[in-house]
Amino acid sequence: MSSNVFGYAEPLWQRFSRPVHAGGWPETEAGVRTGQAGSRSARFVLRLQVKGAQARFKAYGCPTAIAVGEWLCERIEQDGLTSASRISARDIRQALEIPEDKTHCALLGEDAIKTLLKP
Amino acid sequence: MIYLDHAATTPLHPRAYEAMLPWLRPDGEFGNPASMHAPGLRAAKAVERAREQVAALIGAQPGEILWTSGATESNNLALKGALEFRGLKNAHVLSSRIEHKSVLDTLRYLEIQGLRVTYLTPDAAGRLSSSQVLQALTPETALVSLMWVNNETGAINDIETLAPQLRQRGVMLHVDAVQAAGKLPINLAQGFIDLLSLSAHKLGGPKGVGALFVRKQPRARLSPQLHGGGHEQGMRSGTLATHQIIGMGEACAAVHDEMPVEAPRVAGLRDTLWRHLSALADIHLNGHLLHRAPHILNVSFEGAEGESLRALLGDVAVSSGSACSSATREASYVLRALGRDDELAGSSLRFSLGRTTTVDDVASASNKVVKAVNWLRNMVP
Repeated sequence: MSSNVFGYAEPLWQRFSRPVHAGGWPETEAGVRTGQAGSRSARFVLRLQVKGAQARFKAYGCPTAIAVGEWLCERIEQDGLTSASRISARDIRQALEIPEDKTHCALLGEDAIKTLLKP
Repeated sequence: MIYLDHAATTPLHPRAYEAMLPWLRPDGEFGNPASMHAPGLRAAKAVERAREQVAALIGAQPGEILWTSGATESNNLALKGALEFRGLKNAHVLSSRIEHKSVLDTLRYLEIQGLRVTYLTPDAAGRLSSSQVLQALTPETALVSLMWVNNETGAINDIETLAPQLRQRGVMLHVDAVQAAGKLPINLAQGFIDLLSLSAHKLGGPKGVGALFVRKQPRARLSPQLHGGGHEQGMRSGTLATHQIIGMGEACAAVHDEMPVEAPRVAGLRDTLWRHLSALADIHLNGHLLHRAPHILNVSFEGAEGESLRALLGDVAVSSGSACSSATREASYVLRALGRDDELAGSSLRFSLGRTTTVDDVASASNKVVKAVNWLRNMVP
């Protein structure tokens, strides 16, 4: 993994460089919940999945987008889905020290986790 | 760190460094080349020697070389100088959408002053054809400004076919040769290019110095943009930066000597890099496969978001297809002109090789790029 030459905040860089929750399951597989937010034209697509106690993500986007996916999966696995459903864009921004010009990544992260909970 | 951004700037050539040292040392030479005493005359002599070295690289007469602070100034002087001398009234200029900002922004400034400009669109491979240029000429066209080699794609414009045809029609030709000098043979003795811009730091010279070729026969007339002392035949006032100039001269001499071997060597490395990268599917070469400078390779990688790609390649110094300021994440206007959409333009990398690039650099860099692209593609939902 390359060095953090562009000076991303540490909590963000950690998760971008080691996204251990990257991956997923076929959406039709039994017991899998899927939520997705963003679009290619927005340069950010985040898919979150939960199966039992496990959470996985796939993302297309900048390092912030990928770090958001990784962090959300951590939260889901640690705190449970119900608790994670209360995560706001502000929580995401704070946790990953996301600068103002990348606010949309946090907003889309909030959207993704909400779609995960849709029945 | 693997440095593959020679089109942005180059390390100082050892010959340039050695030549400059005596003019930098506290106990060395420091005379003003315009002074009428021994130290001044020694400086003037060194400056004139450097002028000959630059002239030799491009087949010009030494008296046709003006020193500037760099190609940005050379481009400004060429355009503003030529048009101011002719007068902006009813003047029309032909250029292209993919010129360097120092040309585009200067032309836009002149448009505000009343100049009419046509910016031609290149073909999908990034080249302007001479027929395209000739067809766009109007009776009021005073000047054509075209780069010889595009800095983002390396595509070579057919200047040598175009130049005599513009001369025939009495239209002045300015060529930005920043990426061409030292990479392609240039022989201005052939007689058809009127103004030509050069940059030292793109060919192993120091930053902060460049040159403008101003033809004497027929005479290309310029209104000076810097007044104050009448240096450089009245066309560019200001005490000459002797140490910078000597560095530029020696760099030009070195590149002139080494070009017959270096150009094919670098082209070979560039082709090797492209071959290695071609292990990836869904990548696009930006530029022309044949008509291109030896040192530039511009590639778009589908499915690999640009900022993430760059973040993964922190140990490889390359240029990207977008201006990466956090405020404006603009896609490269050059790649957009070639028809790439914002996303693909943003997922592009420009690799530019040079004197210090080795086989290992290319192998290592291509490895890292392939890994990074695959890593990102595997993560796409």
